[in-house]
Amino acid sequence: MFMKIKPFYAGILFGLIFAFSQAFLGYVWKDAYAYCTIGHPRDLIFWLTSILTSSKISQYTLPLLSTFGVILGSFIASKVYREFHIVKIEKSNLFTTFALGFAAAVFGLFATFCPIRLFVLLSFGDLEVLFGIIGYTLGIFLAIKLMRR
Amino acid sequence: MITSLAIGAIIGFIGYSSRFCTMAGIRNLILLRHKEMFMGIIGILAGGFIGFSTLSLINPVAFQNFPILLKIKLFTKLSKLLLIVIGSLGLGIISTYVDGCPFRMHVKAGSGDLNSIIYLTGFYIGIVYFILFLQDIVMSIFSF
Repeated sequence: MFMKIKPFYAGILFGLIFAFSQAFLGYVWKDAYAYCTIGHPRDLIFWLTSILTSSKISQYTLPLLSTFGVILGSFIASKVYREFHIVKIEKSNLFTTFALGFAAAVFGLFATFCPIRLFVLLSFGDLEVLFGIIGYTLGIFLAIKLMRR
Repeated sequence: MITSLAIGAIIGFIGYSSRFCTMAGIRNLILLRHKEMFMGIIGILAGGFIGFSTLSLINPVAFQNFPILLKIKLFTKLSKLLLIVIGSLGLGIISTYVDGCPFRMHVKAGSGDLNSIIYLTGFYIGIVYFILFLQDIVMSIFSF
């Protein structure tokens, strides 16, 4: 029914969607902030805490649900392609997976971007992010070396 | 709020049907010399650059600091650069261990992988924990 998309075209589509949503949908308070796996849940949690403590809400702290949208979108896609199947939990790795997720969030908040926004920021012309790309590639390289042992 | 959900759904749909992952692109290039997934990263750079540069002509208000490299913002603080390097190094290592960058883990969770749902539970708890307890400590250490 639907064709599978090649990663190259998917990347181009992503870039165009991010640019479009910054231009016309009002994601203007940060550079290239249309989608960020780290930043959007952080803003959502800022928003929730500011409601719970009934403190003053910043103008730009909006509840951004794009990460949940991604889960929804991939759920729809897997249903459309009829590939939806439940992968069971590996009980031996349960805590490790949880801890790695925790650590990923902490490291992501150190850097204040997720890998996708890293590359979008580079296309936006932010050269600070080059250090991030060097670090990311180095991290992948190190992890490959460690896992081969 | 609703628009962010809709944009996320579109991105998730494309992300599922293309198996796009930033980590797998670099890993396959280093390990197997496969270029297909790496072309996704080239695509996101190209698409972003084309989109930003054309739309900044149409709607310049939304792109006030578009080519940041022309402004003075470059290389502002050493501590910020250090944070970026540490954070992205950790992200790279963890992404390779769990076989997917955070975006790919969201896509996997949507298609029924319970392991990545566990990962995401840790992820969101990590974000809450960082905001509540770690943020002030990190900011006070990296304030040079």
